[in-house]
Amino acid sequence: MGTPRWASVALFLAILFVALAPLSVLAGGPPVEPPGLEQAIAAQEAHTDALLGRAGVVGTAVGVGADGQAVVKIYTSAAHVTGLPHRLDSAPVEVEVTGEFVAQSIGESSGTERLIISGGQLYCTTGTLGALVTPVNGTLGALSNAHVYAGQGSTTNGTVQVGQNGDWILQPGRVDMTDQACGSPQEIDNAVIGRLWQYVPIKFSRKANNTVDAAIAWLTGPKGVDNTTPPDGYGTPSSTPAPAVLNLAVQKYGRTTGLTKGTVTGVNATVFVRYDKGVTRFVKQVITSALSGGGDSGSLIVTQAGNHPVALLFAGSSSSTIGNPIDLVLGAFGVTIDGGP
Amino acid sequence: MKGFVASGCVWLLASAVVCGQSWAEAGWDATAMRQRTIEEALEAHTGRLMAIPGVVGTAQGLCEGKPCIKVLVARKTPQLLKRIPATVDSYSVAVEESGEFRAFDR
Repeated sequence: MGTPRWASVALFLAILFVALAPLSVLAGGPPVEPPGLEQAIAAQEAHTDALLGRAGVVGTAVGVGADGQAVVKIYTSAAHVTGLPHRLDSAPVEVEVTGEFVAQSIGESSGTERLIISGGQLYCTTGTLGALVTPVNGTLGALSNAHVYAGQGSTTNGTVQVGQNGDWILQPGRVDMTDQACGSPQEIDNAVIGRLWQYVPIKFSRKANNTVDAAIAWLTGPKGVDNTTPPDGYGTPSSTPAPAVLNLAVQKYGRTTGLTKGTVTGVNATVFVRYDKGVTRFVKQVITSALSGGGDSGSLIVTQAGNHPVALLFAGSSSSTIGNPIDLVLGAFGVTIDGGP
Repeated sequence: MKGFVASGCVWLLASAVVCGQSWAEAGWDATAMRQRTIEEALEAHTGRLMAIPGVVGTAQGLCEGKPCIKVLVARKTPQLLKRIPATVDSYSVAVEESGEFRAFDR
């Protein structure tokens, strides 16, 4: 053996160093996952629908327990919800009393009638009528969100709407009526612009793959609706959609914040969105800089250059706005935007 | 000595393969795999990212002009930031405090 002893020691140290290097990367690099995460996710996925069907359960999540172990969390509207499991498959369960998740509070009526404000008959809510579409029952239809036209209602059958096709669609929405809180019967009668034609039910689950919160009313009666925004808006949308691409300059006109401008900041987004009864998940969404506030749901997000429709606004936070890609919305009903070139 | 070197290399090789596999299975990096497109990376990791309490969304975005993965959080806290990787399949991750998203009716 001609190898000197120092060489074999150096070789051993080199091997030891190389072998341990990945461990140090691990320690400083990716997050350390709680044990049992895979099982907890699988259990949540398998049992959420059944859990959400139980009275008092308002949501589920995967979280970390006090011992650092991944757990399935069950959120309840009140203490003393009985009969909940302590384990789901092999995952431990933690019950947390969150109360019901509350949507944005209803503010005072502005009393201002704008052409594109709209809402459903059943609930004292309001949103925005984003665009006219065609063909709907051989005539024009008015596009907005399902939660604007059909309400958020209860969560029967795992969906959040309870509106019925044929329900009156009102303009202005009941929040904006002035005779009395949420409108007098006479005021509601006078506000009818159409009837609910179709909506896409929203699946209510944190594992749901909702893509659109959309509904269409067909226009009836003497009270016409124009395809153009009020004078302080962007005018008439184009009937030719544009795909959402990052940094695209966009704008919208809505009931609450009027005309606002921003850019597309995220595409292909997956988001949790809170409705009256809890949180659900949407996929393939478009995110823009903040464009909106409560009451702007249903606004059409269009390009600043040419007013080409990009997305149907339905949710947001103080810093971001979320819309459904317009091609998915139009495709769900087989309609096109009634607009300019 | 030769035997020692050989067994060391075999052990090293085995540990590298094991490390590579666990890396890929952990899903935070795929340097051992073919480069995924950013769409594939989002698809592969969104479930895991959104299982982290406090994460409210993921999206494909641009960070200083380069494609990146945005992780939207209700509130940026040191504990949450620790749990979100700096890169996913070699795409940089930008954590943004978006707040919670709500349906925008009134």
